[in-house]
Formats: sequence, C-alpha cells, structure tokens
Amino acid sequence: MPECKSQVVITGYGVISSCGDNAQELYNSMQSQRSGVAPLSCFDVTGLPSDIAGIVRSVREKYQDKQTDLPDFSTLFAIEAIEEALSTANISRHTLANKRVALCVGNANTGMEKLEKGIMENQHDGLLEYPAHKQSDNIAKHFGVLGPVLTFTSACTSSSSALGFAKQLLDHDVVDIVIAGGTDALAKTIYAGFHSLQSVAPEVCSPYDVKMGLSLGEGAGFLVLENHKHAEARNQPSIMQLAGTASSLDAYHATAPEPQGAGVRRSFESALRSSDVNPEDLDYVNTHGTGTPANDGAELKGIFAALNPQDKASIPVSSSKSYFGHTLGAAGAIEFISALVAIDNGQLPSTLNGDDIREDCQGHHIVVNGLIDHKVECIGATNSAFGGHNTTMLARKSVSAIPKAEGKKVYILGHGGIAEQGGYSNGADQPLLSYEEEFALKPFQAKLYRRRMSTIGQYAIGASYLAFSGADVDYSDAEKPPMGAYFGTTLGASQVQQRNLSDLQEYGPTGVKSTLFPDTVLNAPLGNLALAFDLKGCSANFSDLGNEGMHALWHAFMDLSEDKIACALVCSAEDKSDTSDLVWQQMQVDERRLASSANALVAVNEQDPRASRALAQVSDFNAGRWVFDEENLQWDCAALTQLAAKPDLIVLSMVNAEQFEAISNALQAQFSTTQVINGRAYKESGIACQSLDAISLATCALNGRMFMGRDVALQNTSKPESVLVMSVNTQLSATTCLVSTVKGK
Amino acid sequence: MKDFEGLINQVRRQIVISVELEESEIAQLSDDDDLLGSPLFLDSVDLLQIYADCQRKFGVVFNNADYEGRHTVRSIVTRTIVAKETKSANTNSALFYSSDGNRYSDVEFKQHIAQLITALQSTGLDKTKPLRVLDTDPVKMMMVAVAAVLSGYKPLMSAQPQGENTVSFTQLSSKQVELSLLDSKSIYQQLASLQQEAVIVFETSGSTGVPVRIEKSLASMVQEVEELTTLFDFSVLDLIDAYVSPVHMYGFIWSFLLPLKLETPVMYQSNTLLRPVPEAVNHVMAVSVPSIWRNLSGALTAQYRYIVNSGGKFGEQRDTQFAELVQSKLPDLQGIDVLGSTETGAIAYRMIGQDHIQTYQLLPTVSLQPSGGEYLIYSDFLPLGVECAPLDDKIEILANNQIVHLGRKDSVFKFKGKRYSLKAIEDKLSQLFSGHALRVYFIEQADNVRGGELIAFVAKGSSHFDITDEVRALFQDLPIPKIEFIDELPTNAMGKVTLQGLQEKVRNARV
Repeated sequence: MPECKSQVVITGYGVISSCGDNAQELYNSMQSQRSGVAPLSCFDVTGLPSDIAGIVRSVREKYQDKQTDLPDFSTLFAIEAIEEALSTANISRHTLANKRVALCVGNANTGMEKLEKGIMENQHDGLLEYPAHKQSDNIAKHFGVLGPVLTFTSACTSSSSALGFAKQLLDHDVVDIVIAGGTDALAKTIYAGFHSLQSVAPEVCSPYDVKMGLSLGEGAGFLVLENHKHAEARNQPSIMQLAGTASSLDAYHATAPEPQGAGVRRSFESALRSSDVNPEDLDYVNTHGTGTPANDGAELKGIFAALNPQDKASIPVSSSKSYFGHTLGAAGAIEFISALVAIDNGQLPSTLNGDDIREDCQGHHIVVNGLIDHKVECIGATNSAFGGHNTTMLARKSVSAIPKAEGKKVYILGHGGIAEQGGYSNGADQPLLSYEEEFALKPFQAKLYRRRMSTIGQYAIGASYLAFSGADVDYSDAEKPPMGAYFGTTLGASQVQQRNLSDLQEYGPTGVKSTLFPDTVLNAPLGNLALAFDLKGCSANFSDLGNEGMHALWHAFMDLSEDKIACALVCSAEDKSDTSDLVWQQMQVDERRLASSANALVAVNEQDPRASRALAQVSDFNAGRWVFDEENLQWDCAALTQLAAKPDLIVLSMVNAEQFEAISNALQAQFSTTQVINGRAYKESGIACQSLDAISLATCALNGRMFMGRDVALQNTSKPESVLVMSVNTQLSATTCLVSTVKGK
Repeated sequence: MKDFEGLINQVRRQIVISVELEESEIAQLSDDDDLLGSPLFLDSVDLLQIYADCQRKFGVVFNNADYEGRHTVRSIVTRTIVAKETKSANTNSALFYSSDGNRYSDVEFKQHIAQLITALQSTGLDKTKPLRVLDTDPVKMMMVAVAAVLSGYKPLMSAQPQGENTVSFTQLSSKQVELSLLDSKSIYQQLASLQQEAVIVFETSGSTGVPVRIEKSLASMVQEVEELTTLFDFSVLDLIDAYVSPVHMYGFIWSFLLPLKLETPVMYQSNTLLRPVPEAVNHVMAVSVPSIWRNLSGALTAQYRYIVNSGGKFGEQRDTQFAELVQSKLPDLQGIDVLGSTETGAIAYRMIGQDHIQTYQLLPTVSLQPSGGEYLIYSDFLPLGVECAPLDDKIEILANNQIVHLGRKDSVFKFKGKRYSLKAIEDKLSQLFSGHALRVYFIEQADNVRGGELIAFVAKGSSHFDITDEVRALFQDLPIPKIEFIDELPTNAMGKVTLQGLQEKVRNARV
C-alpha cells in the first residue's frame, strides 16, 4: 500500500518579467520599489486611454527582428525562466533525461501576437505557433521532457492551477520531478480587450488603493517541484513545502468576482483542509489584488472568511502586481515567486503607490510602499480569473509529512456528446436531439441559454446537459455539495475570436468589444458551464492539441480520488471557424473533417451514493511523448512504462492519421494479444473532443452499448473488462488511462 | 425636442446592435427602464459596449461619472447631449491632462467647479478653519480648491491625507446638485478678482518635523504670475509639462495659475510614471525640481523651450550638463532657476547654463533692505499680512539688482541655555563621516530640560556610534548629537531632504 503522505517541496525557481530577467533582478526591483510598468512601444495602442504595461524588454528587443521565424514570446520567456529554475534546483539536462519528468505550463493568451499577424497581416505560417499547447510543446522539446506535458488555460489562474496539479502528480507518484509555472506574452488584442472593460489604470496600478485599475504585464515564472525524499537523496535543500493547493468556481459572472468572495473562501478552505496548515499558522498572504474595483475587496472578504482570524490585521497581505503588472496566465507563478524571493531575504513583498486604502479594504494589514522585514514560516497565495475561477496555494518552510486520504475509486456515471447533427447520451441507439449545420442551445434548453452565448459555450452546455441526463444527476439541486468542473478546448471560442480580430482590424484597438473580449479566454466556456449548472467546486481548464479532454478527466480523477469533491462534470468542446481552419491547415490537420462539437461526462468517487450505478471505473492515468528510437528502430512512449495492467482492448485515437499505423503497431507489439481499435473510425472527432470521445467509446464497449449510434466492433472478445484508452495529439504526445468495468456491480 | 426624440430612436437602435438584441426584446423596453433590470437584465459588459458604441456613433467622449448611477435610454441620450455641448469629443481642446489619464476641457473644468460650488453649500463645513483638500489627483485637487476659495473657504493644500474639516472631489461629486449657469469670466479672471483676504493655505513639512501652514493670498500669487509673464515670453507655449504638483506653492503658481492665465494646456506627470509629451505639440515648458533632472534630461526633445526649476539648488554639475545639452542638441532650450520659498514667494531668478550658478537677478518688484546684519525682503509675494520678512539665506548684493546667493544662513539653536551653530556640528560630523551625506537638526521640545533634541542623520549603511574620547575631543565644547544611520537621505516629491522624511525612514527601518 503506498504511503499516504504528501511532502512535495520546491527546490528551485526562475522568473523573468518587466522587473528583470531573473529572481535577483526581481528582488532588486522590489527592494528599490521600482515598477517595471512603463510606456509601451512594442505595439500600437493609439486611441486607448492608457499606454503602459510591464513588458519584458530584454527578450523583445533581442528577438524583435527575428520574431517571424521564432516561437511566440511566451515560449522564449518560459525557456529563460526554466533555465534559471533548473539551475537553482541543480538539475542538469542529464538528470532531466533520466528521471520521470512532467511539465505543467499555465498560459492565458500565448500565441496571440502570432494569431494577430496570421489573420490581420496574412502571415499564415505563424499560426502554427498560435495554439496554447504549442508553447508547452516547444518548451518540452527544448528541455527534452518526455513525460506528461499539460497546458492549463484558466486565464489568470492558469499557472497556479499548473502548480496545483504538479503537486498532485508528485503526490500520486506519477513522476519524480515537475517543472511547473506559467508564461504569457502581451498582445494588442489583450491590451485593447482589458481597455474595453475599462479595467486598465492610467498609472502603475496600486491594488487596494483608491486609485482604481490594473496594469497589464507579461513574463514567465517556473518552479521545480519534487518529493522531499527525492530532493534529499540528491542533497538538494528545499526552499518551501507546497503544503496545500485547491481551486473553486464562483458560478457568478463572466468577468466579475462574487462580491462576498465566496469562491475565494471555498478555494482557501479547501486548501486548508487538504493540508495540515491551520489559519493561525499563516504569516502572510500574497493576494491576486488586481486593483480593479470589483476584485480587491471581494478577495479580502473571501480570504478572511476562510481564515476567520480574531483580528483581520494580524495577517499581512499584499499584491505584487504593481511591480510587474498583471501577467495573466503567468500571474500565479510569478507572484508566488515574488513572495519566495522576498521571504528568502527575510522580507515580505509590498504593493506600490499605496497612498490611500479604499474603503472596502480598510482594517487589513496591507503591506505598502516597500518590503518589510518579517519572519515567515507559512504563506498563502490566491489568484482569481475570468470565468470565476479561483485558486489557493499554501506553502511553508519546515517540511512535514501531511496525511493524505486513501485514494478513492473514480467512476463514470454518464456521458453525452453533440456532433454530426445529433446529440447522444450513455450510448443510446438513437440521437436525443438533432440539428442542421450548427447546434443551437436555445431551442433545446432555453433556460440554460444566455444572450450572446458563444457557439462553443452552447455546445458545451448541450453536451453537459446530455451527460447529466445520462447520469441521472439533478444539477439544479441547490443543496448539492459543490460539484467540480473540468474543461478542455484547443482554441476556445474561435468564432468569437475571429469577430474580435475583425473589430481590431477594422476599428483599431478602441474597436475591441467588451461584449466579445471575455468570451475569447480559453476558459470562458467553463464559466458558462459553471453558471448554467451552478458548479462551484474544484476546477481546471486545459488546452492541448488533442488530449485536453483526457487532461480534464485526469484532473477530475485526482480531485475525486483525493475526495476534494465527490462529483464532477468533465467536458471538452470546440467550434469551427475560418480562423480555426487556417490554424489546422498550418498544423497539417485536415480541417475539412472538423466541425463544432462537444462531449461531456459525469464522474463520481466511491463516496457518492450514485456510484452504485456507475458505467465504468477510470484509473492509471499517465502521459508521454511517442519517440522513435533510432537505435532499436522502434517507437517508445513514456506513458506506458508504468502500466501494470494488461488491457482487453485498446482504443487509440489520434489526430495525426499518417502515424496511426506506426503507433498502432507499436501498441500491438507491447500488448500482443490485445485488439487495438481506431477511436476516430467511430466518429470524426474534432481535435479537442477526440480524447473524451475515446473514453466514451471505451465505456460503451465495456457496457456493450452503441457509440454515437454505431456498434463497437470487437474481435475475439465480446465484452472486455478493461480498456486502455490512448489519445495522441498532433505533436505525438499521448495521454492514457484505464477504463474498466465496475467490480461487484 | 425633435432632436431629443431622434436621439432616443438612434440610441435604441444602437442598443440592439451593441448587445445583439432581438427586435421583440427592445420593443419591451421603455425609455426609462433600467437597462440592468427588467425587462432586459443587461450585463455590465453590455453597458460598457453601449457607451463605447455611442461614443463612436455620436462623436462624444463620456467621463467616468457617466458610467455611474442609473442607465436608461433617456439617461444615455441626456449624457450624449451634455457631452456634445461640452465639446468633450474634441480631446485636443483639453486644458488639463490629469495624471490619472482623464482630460478636462476648459468648459468641463468650469462646469465641475460650478457643481462643486453648489455642492459645497450644503456641506456645513467650517469657513473659519482651513479646509483640507484630500484629493491627490492634481486636477481634482485644483477644482476643489478653486471651488472652495471662490465659496469663501480657505483651502488647505497638504501632502497629509488626514485631518479635520476635510473635503474631496468624490465626496462633493456624490451630491446631487442642479446644474448652474457658468460664470462668463474665466477661472483665472475670477481668481484674480478675489479680494486680498482670499487665501490658499500651504502646509509644508517644516524644518523641525512639525508641519507648518503658510497662508498665501491669491492676489499675491496672481501678482507673481503676472510678473513672470512680463519677464518671459510664454505665449509660444502650447503645453506645460508639470512635474510639480500644485499641492506645493511653486506648483500652484507654475503648474496651475500660469497655465490658466496663458490658457495653455497642462499635463500633470505622476510620481511613478513619466509620459512623453504628445508629438503634435511644438513648444513645451517643463516645471521641475532638481531631483528629477536625471530622468527628465534624457526625455527632453526639441519640443521643449523652457525648463523652470525651483525647490532646491540646481547645482554646478546639472548646470554644466544643461549647457552641454543646449550646445549639442537643443539650442532653443532655456532654463530658468527660481530662488524663493513658500514663505517668501519668488525672490530672484537666473538663466541655467548661462548665468553663474550663484548669481541671481532680483524680480522687479522684490527688494532687499539691510537690517542689523541681515536682509529684509519687501515683496508683493509674501504671505498675507506680512509686509517684510527676514531672508534666511546668505547673500551679497551686486549692481543691477543682482545678488550672489551664498547658501542657507547658519541656524543657531539653544542647548542647555547656550547658543550653538548647526553648521559647527555639521562640520565636526563631516570630519567623522567623511564622504557621507548628513543632516543635523535641533528639535525644540518644551518639556526637555536641554531645550530640545539634537539629532543627526548620516547616510551610511548599518553602523553604530560610540562616544569615545576621540569624539569628545573633536566636539570639545559642542553638544554631541544623537546619530541615526540610514542607507540614504530620502527626498520628498520636491526633491528636498526633510526632517519628517528622515524620521519616517528611521521608523520604517525599525519595523
């Protein structure tokens, strides 16, 4: 039986931002109260009322003339930060090559500059570098990471989500080392978008002050995480233990936080529960603190409702955003690192330009205008994002063995999907709905529809509704415990993004619409799902180039297994537009086969009474890249090295059809008597939906049901008991899990 | 009325387009329905889009205040009409560029002041006591100060945000008031016509750490502006780039009254962010202090015609750099170094890079009269009720109304009943801490049998001070000060080292 203790420690970190190219330069800036936010020159912001941001000038100036031939700046930022993180953690390339290593990358807007140039200046080659996961793939290839590579895209909580999942990967002994953090590069669309919401401050932002508004920024921050024993074995000192992580959804508004901070409170409480940290242990909280009127007061309410101290001024808090701006997808990691560098020097970070604390933030000990000396043992960090997503991290200097709940079994209760002019649920023979061309939610479920809902949002809600119906789960039950929600999408609302770019092109930066911009973040459909079904539990948003659905399920599996939640919705969706077609053309995916679609499944753990009617159990998740071993002339995949079970059936689903035969043969060589079936033969899945489709297909095969109205053709075995599902993305990275029958059912 | 109805229909059409409504939905909406409520239940992002589209469609610019309160079709139309009338669409007509990014035309500025004056009537604030203006944004601060002084209050300008009898732009703006007709006279004319008793109170940090209030009559400051405009040709200016807040008297005159008089736009820079001046302007004057020269000098372009400096010695090194800059890059640039203080007003000036760094030309209406070994200043720019004031500086009078400025006069303090010179203490400390900047202060304390505390601040990293026989021998008959070591001497927004700033630095270092 595995030891049920958590001892995940941070052994290195690296950071690049407008405040410097490494941690020491960041500290120097913080110490001299210098903000990196300054007038912009890297793109035209004519007509906008503000023209400042925290730009990483060193990298931009170095590469600006070569940018068309290079990856997005976010990849370049990340490489710089990871080099520093590995160096401080004393991890060489040789170590990376010989250990089980994962890369967890958070980003919100990476590739946007490539998209702008690709669409507006017809530089179509650059579109190859637009998808969020392409940056993670670039980074993984640069460092030779062959293990799991996951891309977290829950906007401003992306990198803190990545750090949370990194801890879970280590807690579950999937890998030895995780490089986790976030990277983001600012682009005109994003800058204009935040202006359309009138969120941008004309001066360097000053969270909690009466001067309202945020400053935007960019950069990257990455940490090296490993289990304490692993670090000890190589004599590497721990910087801090990552003692607890958690997330939640507000289910309140697309951009504004719940005013009482209820979502932040739930996330913080969940993090405390998952650790052995008590509220009174906390010496400091590094907050999200954007500077906007809606965020700062609500966030403090939420944090202190969770901590409930006798004196709310007893725990110092500050936001680090006035140093380097709001770095969006990298914010959680960079801000966390800003706290670590200050703590390393016996100090706490501060908020700059704090002249006059606003009314709803008074009474707190907000550290302003300069680092303060402070003894720190334990800290908290919070982040919040569009879509109402919140995360919390708890860390402390002394390392302890934190007891973990024994892993709970996780089951699939129901599944549904909308594609190919029909909607199916739980392997039904006949479609439960039909449509022509594009699915519309309003005629199907008017109560779930909201004005101007994006196409992808409508598909996601429609498929989720079918999954809830199939699982016979009453999502409208107001008394239900917070339900988790996990979403995967490759490009997000590409139709909305297309309109957004069109406005930018036609009217300039002032033409970007407040009604469209919030829907362009990749987790906007997750926010739609939360609002539609009142989902307030743990949450994560993934992007990949084919495996995002399974990554979403993997995260749900972790949270269900750890009993953070008992029930979860997992969904993946995509829409089709001229923009997405151009991107897929560059990725050499036959875009003519792709169409808008969505699928969803409802999962529960064994604690949920509804588990008794489960369709299948899921377990043994892993991931890794397929590589051709030139020496032995064979294909290898790190995802399969730890798999002990011998499956009765393999469902292989891969976007890259040309390589199907080679990978299928490689699987066949390893599992000689096991039939391999092509998941995409049953449904022309899109990119984002292929992996959850494969899970649904496996579930149908286990239960002898039809998938999308088609019989699942099996040889030799009429009803398998375990199915290995492998989804392979366009970059030949695979994600696997075992789907098996429910024992004793 | 016909126009109003026409606009109503246009706004309704725009709402349909902006938030993608169906015809059946807009048909249910009355002109007075709250857009965020029934029947549409629009979202805040919808409202932002409606306003953004109306701005573009009607060629207007809404102010921040327009996004507050209730939003109906009728209120949007009203706001559009007001925005059109105030010509705020034409951003080039802005007279004040606030450091918070807002812009105000002359009409808007007057309109706000008129509203603030009406709002002040119902506040019940005390006219006999200084009225502390809480705003830090220079434009809002000036609107409140002007409204207050025109209403018979004594506005108090201070960097301290707390105190009694306070007022702020937000507080006054939140009061619902009827719009009153605007005075046909310009704000400058209105201020110039005030009686001698109309004052602005400036709170300085004070040399003993206790803030000092100085009442300056508006008449004296207007007089100073008038004199400056006869000495220099500022008529060519099309922008004043202000690095000094009008919370200080120097800023009030140069960054506020002078632009008002000239009707020249002024752009207030913030402490945290230096913005380049717009490319379209051709003749700019920077109002600055010596401490920002290093940053400012790098940002100077051929657009700059004048740099005015006050608030501290410009210094030989900067003077040389200025001369080199003029010779190499900016031949049309002139620098004016003004000698004076809040207590005295402007006394004299010299041209930077041309005149000797110690030689100043007295202003025409200022005269200095010897009196018992010192000089008395006779000037129209002195505080209210002060006919003449002793000059705290050491000078020599030359011919042609020129003076040589030899620095601050030595301060004498009384310690244990004996008089000592601060300079003598400073000299001794300079021997002890050679190469390190230092300041010495004597803080008078009524309950201290020694008469007060003698304290020195030395810019030297962590250190300690033991009174050894060697130190005793060095100071001989002089009192030995208490010494605080700090990493550097902090400067305030005016670039000055103050006792208050030093004490704060020491306190912070101990937290």
